[in-house]
Amino acid sequence: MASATENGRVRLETVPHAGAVFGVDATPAGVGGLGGTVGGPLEEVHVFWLAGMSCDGCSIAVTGATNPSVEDLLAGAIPGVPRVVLHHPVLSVGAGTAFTRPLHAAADGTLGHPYVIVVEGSIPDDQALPDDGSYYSAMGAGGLDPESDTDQPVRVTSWVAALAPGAAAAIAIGTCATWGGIPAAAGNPTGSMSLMDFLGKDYTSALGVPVVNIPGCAPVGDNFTETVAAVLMFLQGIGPLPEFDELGRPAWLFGETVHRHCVRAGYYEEGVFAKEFGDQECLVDVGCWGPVVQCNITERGAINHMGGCMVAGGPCIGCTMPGFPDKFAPFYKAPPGSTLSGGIARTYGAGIRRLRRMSMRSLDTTLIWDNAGEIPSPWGVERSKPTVAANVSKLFYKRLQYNGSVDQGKRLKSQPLPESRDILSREKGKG
Amino acid sequence: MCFKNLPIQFDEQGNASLIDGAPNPWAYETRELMPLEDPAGQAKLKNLMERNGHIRRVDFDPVTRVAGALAFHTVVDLENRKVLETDSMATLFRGYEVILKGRDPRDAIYISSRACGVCGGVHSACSALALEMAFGVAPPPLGIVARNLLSALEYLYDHPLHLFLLAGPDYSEPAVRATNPELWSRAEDARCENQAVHGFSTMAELMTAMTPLTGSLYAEALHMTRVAREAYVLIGGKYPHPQTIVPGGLSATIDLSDLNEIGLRIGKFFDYGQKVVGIWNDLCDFFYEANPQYREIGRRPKNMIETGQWDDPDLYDGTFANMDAWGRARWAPPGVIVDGELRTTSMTQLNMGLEEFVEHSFYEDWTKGNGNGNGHSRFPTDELGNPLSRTTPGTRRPSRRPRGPTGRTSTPGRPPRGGTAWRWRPGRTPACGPAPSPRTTGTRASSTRRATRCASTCRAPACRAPSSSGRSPRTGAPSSATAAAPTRSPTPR
Repeated sequence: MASATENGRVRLETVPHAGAVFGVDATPAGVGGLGGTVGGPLEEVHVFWLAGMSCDGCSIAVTGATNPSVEDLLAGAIPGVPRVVLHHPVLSVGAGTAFTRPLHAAADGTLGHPYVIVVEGSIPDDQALPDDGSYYSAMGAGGLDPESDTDQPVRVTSWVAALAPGAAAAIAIGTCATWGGIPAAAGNPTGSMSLMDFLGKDYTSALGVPVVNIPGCAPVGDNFTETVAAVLMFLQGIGPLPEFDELGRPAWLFGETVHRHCVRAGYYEEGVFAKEFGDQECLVDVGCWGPVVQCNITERGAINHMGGCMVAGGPCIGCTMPGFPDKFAPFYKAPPGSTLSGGIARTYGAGIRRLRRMSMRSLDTTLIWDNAGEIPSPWGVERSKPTVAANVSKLFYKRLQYNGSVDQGKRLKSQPLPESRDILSREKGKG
Repeated sequence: MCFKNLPIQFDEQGNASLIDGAPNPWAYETRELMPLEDPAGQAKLKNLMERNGHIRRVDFDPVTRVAGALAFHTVVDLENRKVLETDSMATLFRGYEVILKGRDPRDAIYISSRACGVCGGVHSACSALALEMAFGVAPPPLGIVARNLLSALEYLYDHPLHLFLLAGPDYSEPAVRATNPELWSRAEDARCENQAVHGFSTMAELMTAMTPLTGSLYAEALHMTRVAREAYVLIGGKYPHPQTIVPGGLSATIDLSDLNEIGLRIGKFFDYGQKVVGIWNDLCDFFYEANPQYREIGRRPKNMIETGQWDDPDLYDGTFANMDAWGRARWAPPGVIVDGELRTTSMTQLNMGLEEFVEHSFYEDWTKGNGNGNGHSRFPTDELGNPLSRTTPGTRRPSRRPRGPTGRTSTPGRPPRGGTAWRWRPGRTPACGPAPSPRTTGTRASSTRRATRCASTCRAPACRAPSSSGRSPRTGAPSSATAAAPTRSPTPR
């Protein structure tokens, strides 16, 4: 484990595997944080993307990121951030041994550059299978020994176990890798688990960082690229170590519930709920778990600030949470807790709604219309005269609003109405 | 008739029934495919490799730039440029069918979607269709329109992804320079026919723009996949794994702003689509001209099956009884083509002809005694009384193959090979077209891709031969999950 020194830097000598990460010159240098190497700032960082029990959906989500975009990271287009060399089983150009050669080099400690592993998909329990070529998820032939002459498929779990200790950081992307997800759901035949489960509580990367978890099924792509860029800036020594919560989630992304930033949350407050699919109100009654789910998709959108589950009308099924999917199923049933909290919201919401309606009625007219006593809209505005109760409450409302200030409405009332109001009828009258 | 190879006959009214007199009409045989087509082929091959330096193992593992774990392990005679043995395998097993068991059927929409994140919306849409049929839910016309819109947007994302991010790098400057330098000098002089459409004057210029990361076409495609996905998430919530697909359509609240933002994004694809067609026409023409043998890549009997897509809002009612009618009314209608000949456009018939075999997978054969089906056919006929195979996918009750004590007899770990077998073929066995030799193939990566497509989609036994598959390299013992090509037993007609 890395230990912070007085000036806040980390002493690399105390970090196991640091030599494998930063090469022979692994001593602290640079302007802050870890500060790259004595040879200067890091020029490139390799990222080994390992897909376990995965659907490649996280990869697709990452290609949707815009701030930064994946091509920005790969081209080294972000000032200060080292160029990312990505080894990805779907996106890489080279296949077969051309693809696996750098993986072997990283496992042997001969890569010559620091590397990060990104794990997408759950970790199957195939290390428990007989050692006869059995696997649930494999990549590369010939075993971990590149000189081997067998065509034995290499378990992805073997790659993870071989690469994790020497990695500068291990990042789990998506709910499968972070918590287990659907391949680890009840009744699964593969004994799947999360990366944290697999590597164990004592695991820290070569730089002393525990597994970083970016959940979501699929995650918001920007949540991943933003975190990676922040971690790279930290490694470079030009940024602080980003804040992570007790489960290794980026705290600034997953600290709030998805409901708090939901465009439909206001309906909940007023106690109005969608009764069927397609309704525009709060979706709790049609199965939305948003009020208790840590996610930022309603704030950040799904892609380029567009969409987001509840924004579009899809109830939250808790796909960023460790309890997903089993603790949220059956998905179409309203969460039982919402009966109570929703019932309370209905009760006070009814009152709030009425009070607001009263204010809106007064705010929905201009001062001129108030003074003239009529609304010049031919669209069909017909309003009854305010009730006595409404007038009384308006009086008190105004008292409170303009207490210690000037009632601008009163000021305008002292001015005459514009003379050319209703000009066309006036002209007609003249003619 | 379309069922040349199925034990089904039709009367004059077109009603289907099993052909009389077949004792076990749905029986099929499995056949071991040996390396060098020889029972002792494995040993022989090993011997050959030990004695000859030019006979070598060449593995394409992983095959990158395809969605889904795929690998080829081959033994190649480099001197004679011949592939002596090859296995193709999917290197991933998660057991989604098993996970789905014992859950609320409505949850299938969200769970099945997670099977694939590259085609990240179609599985939920398909589950919604299945639920509509099961529940008797007929969606309102606008629900169907909205769902069609969503599916169409997925294509707009998928095509640039495939053409420029996955397939495209094979045709880019670095790939062509590295693998076929003689083509590069040719490309520098080759004028682009469609310059007026896409703006590139020479093929070399175009290939430079295809370069991963730095090429303008690569970057543009990445951007366009985002434009399409932005439109998608406006009504789908997110992508992959949309959140609004429900039986009956979409749960999205669609207003004019959504339609405006979607419509404007679709509009961008009109110009882009023309540009892409021009680019790929020029690329294909260039490679065909450089080497006419490119035309032979992937040539094989045209066997295709398509269930159709995009329902007619006025006709679709989700019922099995009317399936032929609403199926044919799909904008992309269903059909089965065998050997280049259209056999049927009836969804009911298509359903009758579908069978799934699990010899090469991690799944237990559910039609057998220990496969949960207890040897009985769960649905001997469909809703209309038409005969169904015991192995029809709709009746499957998958469970994981149990693990034997040595891990050998049932070998959960050996890769699943093969899958759905093809009974629609006529009597003769279709064969793959001649494999292009590495010398005549343009780029190495490109030839890999072509081979991939052929081997992963063609289920004909001949396409998999010569293949041994059953090797367990460490133990040297054949495993049961080995290549066993289902073949039809002779059926009395």
